[in-house]
Amino acid sequence: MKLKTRYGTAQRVSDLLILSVALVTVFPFYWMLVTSFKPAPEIFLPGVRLLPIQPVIENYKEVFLNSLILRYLWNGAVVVSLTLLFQLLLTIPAAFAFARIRFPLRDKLFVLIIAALVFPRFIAAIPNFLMLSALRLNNTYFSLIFPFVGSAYGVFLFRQFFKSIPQSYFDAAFIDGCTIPQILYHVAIPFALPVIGSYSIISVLTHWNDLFWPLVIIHTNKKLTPPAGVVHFASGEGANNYGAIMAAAVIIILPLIVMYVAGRKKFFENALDLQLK
Amino acid sequence: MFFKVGNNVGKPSAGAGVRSRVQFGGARISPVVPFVSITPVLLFIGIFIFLPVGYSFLLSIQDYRLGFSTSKFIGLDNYVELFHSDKFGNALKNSLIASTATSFFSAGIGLFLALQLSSLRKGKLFYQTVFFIPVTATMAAMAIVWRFIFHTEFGVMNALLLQLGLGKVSWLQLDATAMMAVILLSVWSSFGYALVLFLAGFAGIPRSIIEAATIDGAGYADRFWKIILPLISPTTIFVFVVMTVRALENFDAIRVLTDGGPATATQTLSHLLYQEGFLFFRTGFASAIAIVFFLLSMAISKIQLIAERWVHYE
Repeated sequence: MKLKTRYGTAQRVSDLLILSVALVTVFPFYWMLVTSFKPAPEIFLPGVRLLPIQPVIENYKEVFLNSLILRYLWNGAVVVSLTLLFQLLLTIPAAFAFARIRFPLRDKLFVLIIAALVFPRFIAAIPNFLMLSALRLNNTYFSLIFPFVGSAYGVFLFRQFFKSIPQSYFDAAFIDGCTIPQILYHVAIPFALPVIGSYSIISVLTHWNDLFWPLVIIHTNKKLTPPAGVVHFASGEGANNYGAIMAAAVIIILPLIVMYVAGRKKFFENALDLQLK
Repeated sequence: MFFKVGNNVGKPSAGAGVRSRVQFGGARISPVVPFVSITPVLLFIGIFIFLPVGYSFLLSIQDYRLGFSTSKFIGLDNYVELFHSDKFGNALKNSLIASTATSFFSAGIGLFLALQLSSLRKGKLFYQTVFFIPVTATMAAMAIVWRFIFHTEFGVMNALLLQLGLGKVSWLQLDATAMMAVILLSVWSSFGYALVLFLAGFAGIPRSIIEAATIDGAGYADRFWKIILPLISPTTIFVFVVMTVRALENFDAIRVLTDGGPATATQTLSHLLYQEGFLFFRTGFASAIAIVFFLLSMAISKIQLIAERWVHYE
């Protein structure tokens, strides 16, 4: 859709506006990056310095030597990959059944799945905390992963997609003697790969970024996920060492930014489209 | 009814319940297939969502404090205490201020930028990607960065103010400016999302309508106010709801940027719930906050439904 047709003064003003908002938007990232390479005395100098006078990597050394950052990254990687793996294993077959198989109570059960989407995450947090603590499962990877593997959003998203595939694609395989799991694996999933990709990006972002649940359920430094770890570092060992704090922030944000920028096209094409429907 | 029997004789499908009603594209399959497919996910949703939600209601009518063995039912006392406490009133007020301001500014900036971007010849995906980065970046880490930006002595915000010949501001130490900082961070991390939703909404407007209006002599302002804005109003409502809910659920930013302070000037419902439930271990009281929180989000979806009926053009 185009609102304007001429490339005149109005368009130039508009270009300039977009550019300036973009610069303001990325400034905090830039500032974080620049500060992470500044030696401490420079950080405390008055005035705005857009580049370090004497760039150093001491801040990164400090983070790697004096914090458990590698451990936090490892925890984050374990938690997001296992969460995603179990989410896909549980939601894809369920979504396929809801979309393509006719069985009693199907629609009523699906309403139940949709209903699970309306509860804000805070309402389940207290009982889940009590339940997991009573089972002595708090402060474990288990408690960071399993509350989230039953993803109602995943079932909803994949069902939408599976419904859009024409039945004839499945009939051919069915007549050839394929079982339902085989059809799911060889026909449905290959079609769904772009949607699975978008869902994966969203899931990884959500669970890597979350601060609330790790703060609630984890109480030893060693088990913290990256956001909780960096907050712990900023309030403890690294307090007032702004260079090191910024370096820690860079380290935990970078993997996700790279993933997001690499997958941006697919992300905008699939994820948001399906969400809007 | 013997005279009706004849109609059914010889029909293989007679006798519902005998034949399996589980079908895949018209063919009968074993009921085991759907059962095995959906049971695990339903089980997990049941255990970690429905069971806890139900239990929250029960907890909210108990005098339950973690670490104390006594927990007795006290009816609606938690709610009575809630609505009489200054803490709750303050948190509710802050939540409403922060989420209203966030959704208003995010939607406004998002719509404005979406309009600008839609007339760009190239670079649309590039800018979309840039504006969306704050939505994806780890909020806890970025809130640490913003806290440094707002630092009274070494922050770049005050350094800029000084260069402009203005004085320093203790951003995070004053009630009003701390709330402004929270809202600014919240808008920064949300407007890209609004922008992307608006762009998707624009994609649904047929070009022919805009072209027809242009040929009929509609100027830029007319096209915006009389055609585009009404046509995307369902998107606008959706954006406002998404932004409001996001802002209400915003915990990470406030926990890190101000931790609810100074004192309780920026304490929102989610922050109060965390404090009461997991720092003070007043489980019953915190559960009552959770229920109120839930009712608040239900009210927002209700408003969405009403608003949608209002603007539905067909």
